Amino acid sequence: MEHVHLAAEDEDDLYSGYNDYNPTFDTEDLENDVGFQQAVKTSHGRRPPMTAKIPGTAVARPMGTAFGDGVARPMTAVLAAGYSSAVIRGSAFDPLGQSKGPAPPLEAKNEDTPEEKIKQLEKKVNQLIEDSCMAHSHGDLQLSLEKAKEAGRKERFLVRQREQTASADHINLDLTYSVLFNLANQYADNEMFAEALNTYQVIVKNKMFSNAGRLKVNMANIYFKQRNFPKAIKFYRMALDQISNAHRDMRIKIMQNIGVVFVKMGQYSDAITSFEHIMSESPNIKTGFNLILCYFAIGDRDKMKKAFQKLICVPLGIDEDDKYIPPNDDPQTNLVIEAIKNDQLRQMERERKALAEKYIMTSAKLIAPAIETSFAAGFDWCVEMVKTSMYVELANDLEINKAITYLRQKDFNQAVETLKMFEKKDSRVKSAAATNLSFLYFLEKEYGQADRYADLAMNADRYNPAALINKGNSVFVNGDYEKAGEFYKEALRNDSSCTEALYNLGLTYKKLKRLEEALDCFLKLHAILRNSAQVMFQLTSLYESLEDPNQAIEWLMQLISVAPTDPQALAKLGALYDNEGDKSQAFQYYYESFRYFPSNIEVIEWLGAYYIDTQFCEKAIQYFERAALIQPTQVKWQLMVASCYRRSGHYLSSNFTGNYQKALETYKDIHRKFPENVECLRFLVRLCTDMGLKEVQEYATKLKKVEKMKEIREQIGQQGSRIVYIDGQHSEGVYKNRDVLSTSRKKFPAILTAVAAFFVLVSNSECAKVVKRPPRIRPCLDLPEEILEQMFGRLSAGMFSAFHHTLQLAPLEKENLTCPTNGRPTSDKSRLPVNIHSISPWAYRISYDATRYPKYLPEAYCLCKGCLAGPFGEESLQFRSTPVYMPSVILRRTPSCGGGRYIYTENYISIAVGCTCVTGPEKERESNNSVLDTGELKRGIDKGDESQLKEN
Amino acid sequence: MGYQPEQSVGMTTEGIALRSVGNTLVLHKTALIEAFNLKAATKYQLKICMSINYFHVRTQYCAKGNYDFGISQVIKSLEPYNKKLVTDTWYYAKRCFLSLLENMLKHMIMLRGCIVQECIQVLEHCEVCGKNVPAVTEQPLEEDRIHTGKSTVAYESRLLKALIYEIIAWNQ
Repeated sequence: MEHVHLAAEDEDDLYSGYNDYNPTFDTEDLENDVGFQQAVKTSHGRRPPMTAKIPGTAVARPMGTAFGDGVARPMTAVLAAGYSSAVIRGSAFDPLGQSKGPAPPLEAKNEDTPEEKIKQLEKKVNQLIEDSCMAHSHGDLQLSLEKAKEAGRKERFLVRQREQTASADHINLDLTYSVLFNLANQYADNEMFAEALNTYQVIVKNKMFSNAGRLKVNMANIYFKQRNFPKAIKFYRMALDQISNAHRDMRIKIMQNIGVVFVKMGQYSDAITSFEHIMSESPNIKTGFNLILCYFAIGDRDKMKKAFQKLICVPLGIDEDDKYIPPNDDPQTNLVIEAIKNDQLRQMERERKALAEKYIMTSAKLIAPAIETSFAAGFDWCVEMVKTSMYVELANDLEINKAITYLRQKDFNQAVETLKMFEKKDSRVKSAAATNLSFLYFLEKEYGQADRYADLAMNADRYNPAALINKGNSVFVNGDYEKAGEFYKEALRNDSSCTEALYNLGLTYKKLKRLEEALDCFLKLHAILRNSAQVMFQLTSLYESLEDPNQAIEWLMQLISVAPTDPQALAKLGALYDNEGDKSQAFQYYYESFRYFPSNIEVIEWLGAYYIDTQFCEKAIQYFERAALIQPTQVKWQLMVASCYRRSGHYLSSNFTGNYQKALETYKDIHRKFPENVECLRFLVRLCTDMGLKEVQEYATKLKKVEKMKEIREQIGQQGSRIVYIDGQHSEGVYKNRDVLSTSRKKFPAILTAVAAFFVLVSNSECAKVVKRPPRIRPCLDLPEEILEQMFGRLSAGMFSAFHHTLQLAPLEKENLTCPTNGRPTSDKSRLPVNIHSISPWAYRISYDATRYPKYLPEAYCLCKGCLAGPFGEESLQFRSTPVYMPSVILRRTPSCGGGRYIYTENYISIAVGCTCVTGPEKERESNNSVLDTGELKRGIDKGDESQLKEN
Repeated sequence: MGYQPEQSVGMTTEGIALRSVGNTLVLHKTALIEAFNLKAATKYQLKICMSINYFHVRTQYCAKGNYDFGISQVIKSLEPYNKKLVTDTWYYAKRCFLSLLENMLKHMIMLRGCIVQECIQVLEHCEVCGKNVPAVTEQPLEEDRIHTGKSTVAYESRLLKALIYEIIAWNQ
């Protein structure tokens, strides 16, 4: 431009422009250069167009007056239009249109026109539909339905608007279709089937919508969900009619659905027709599998084979694996392969392949036993077929499957043989087979063989974690825990997600008593396997060993939330609570455990003991009866049952005789089964005595005989043992020796080592409190007071002793009171104790018996014969004072001696605790009202027994 | 996404204003527009003058029921891939596909099975030929760079293929 610039035409100072400094070159002032700063910030790398003018020397010069198209030229100008020298400049060559300046701003949208409004509305409806779909994909069905409904409302409004503005012919049909379709879909997903069907009906009926016919498929799907199969088929067929052959994929899919519906209806032949058609038109894996299932259902061997052949020939349409192996020479290709080796498409392809393999394996496993005479032959046929197909690698898996089928049928030899065939094959399969073999031998406890195959598997593939675990296991059972731990760690290094290794490592640490490390392992494992009951169980047992019962209980609670029906875990929790002293919680969990697994003897025992502890002997009976059923050879349980009957007989007087009778029968029964059981005989003798039966003699003789035999035996066995066993403690010892093993029952692959074991120490409070008899040595000493007190305390369980205690507190100076002759004492009533104030007054006396524990017993006796019921409180013989009895238990010394001590037996008596007034005078009785002489319950107390026992 | 000149239909070419097909048409026509853009871009690539009468094309294919054919024709205009598949044409091609997919998802158009197969084939070709073609032009001052392997036509065409498979329920 400078070249055409002539100085003559310039009225302005020629040099003025040169003083002006082009800002483009002002490097010193860059910081203040807005243009430059913007360029840096926006990283456009160039100045905004304004400053990017061609750097002319005099650019900043003011323009000439006639510059441009001359519009600015005054009308009165003398100069001729178009002939100014400036014009030359104005129309200068400007191919880039730079002189035009920026484009005029876009015309603002006029929002008020009805057309524009409608467009906005359309946009909104579309947005709502999309929102609805998004909500649906996030699983918020409620919200998506709401949105769909709102879209529907807006759309109707839109249509009305259109009609009002008389542009009804412009109604956006596609939008209406979208809205309705989405609404119907959301209804269907919210299981509002009637509404969904209605909406679909609206779409289908409207002839304006193209392609609407195929929505019959959706309707059919709804009918299918409602299990209205005939209607579903009808609609599928209608849809099929409306879809042209151009949409073959769609037609195939519908036919597949029809086939499935037929299968559901059990019409296999119709289903087969449908599936066969698909397989000939456009074979796919799913249909092939369904076809096999149908043939299997009708039991057609040949067709099954053919269908299987078809199934393995179905083209998958996915790329070969080697496409994803980088060729290593071209960096760009490598980069691309790195990007695509796990992209979405690759994942889909893998999924498809896995699906196909799954179907093939499943169908092979299914038909193998059916197509040939034996399943082995069937498997062989399948293997042959698979080998010729593109799924060659499945053949080996099938072989291993065959071995597993042998295992299922418990044919271990065949399984082992099948697996052994793999020894010659390539290393991967060989390693897998050897691993299986090793584990098989491990299960059969042939640890030597297991070790050998574990080595083999390891040698074939050192990075096979399963092989390493097997090796670790076999080292573990040999007791070399350190080494086993090393193997597990190696397995973990090879495959950090190998949970079995982590689990076994934890067990190893546990064995090595490195509890903290074990805890670490299991906590890690818990992070991986959130819901593994086994891991939680291990954590529980670890915390228990670390003496942190609260943590243990917490983990066990978690475990129970995962496996609420595991009786062992429940029992364990019960035991933990029991140890903590929380009996009622313990009972709750033991009871739950019992409900799920009623034949766990420990749980039954605990429950029985609990009921006895809480004085519900009757309830305890059913548990001990069950225990007796489970272990019929254990006399203990049956004795318990009898003992419970005996006790409940005493406490519940209404059932008194009945239960006593039952107790007797039970003892008799036990005696028949275990004629040598001393305890049983002893109880029989006592019961018979108590009930005044004649068999007493017989049993007493037997008892003596048995005792003697036992004595002799014991004398031979262990001379001079002086220890007095109380029966309960003794049996507890037995449990300890038996070590109650508690194993979690769930299967955990590859792990059978180290079964967690712990003792369930059941508090075994109940048992007949008969002292065993070591050899007799004279003279006989009495038992120390504390032991007696202990025995007695356990028997009476608080009730009786409380009574005893109260009476001891009462003043005893009013002994030998008599019936007040001058009527009831009326003065200072409040100070009199209730026994004197009563209309049938009574007093206490203390009975003493050296052969009894407690030696001193308070007894009530009535002071009057009648009652002080006369009008002035005088004695009236219309009534009668009668003592009130309470059933109790005492210990009574027997003449026999054990370990230099007397033997005490429990004895049930009734003790008068007060008197009450009853109607009707007593006729026949002429007693002095003393309890010891009054009647029917007397035999409970006293000398009768003793003398009879002596006689024996 | 780098700055791409919008080949807006109806732009002034050599002083002749062409009539716009109108971006305000309903959704399914956007697919066509993308296709036209693509076609224009490919032609441009071959230094052929851009004076296609868009209006003519539109009337030809936009009649309902025939447009899937139109779209497949336009997509095929990428051939031969080794010459025409460059970053710019890919930009239009993928827009074209995405628009098509959106229409299919909304059940606005029902593509015939063979057309879908053709689309998949085109994408497969793109995958083979597009290993070295960047999908977007690298911006020099962009802070977080995308993986070089991922910004290739091959990668993006696989992504599109996966999307198509998802829509036609290939795995079910």
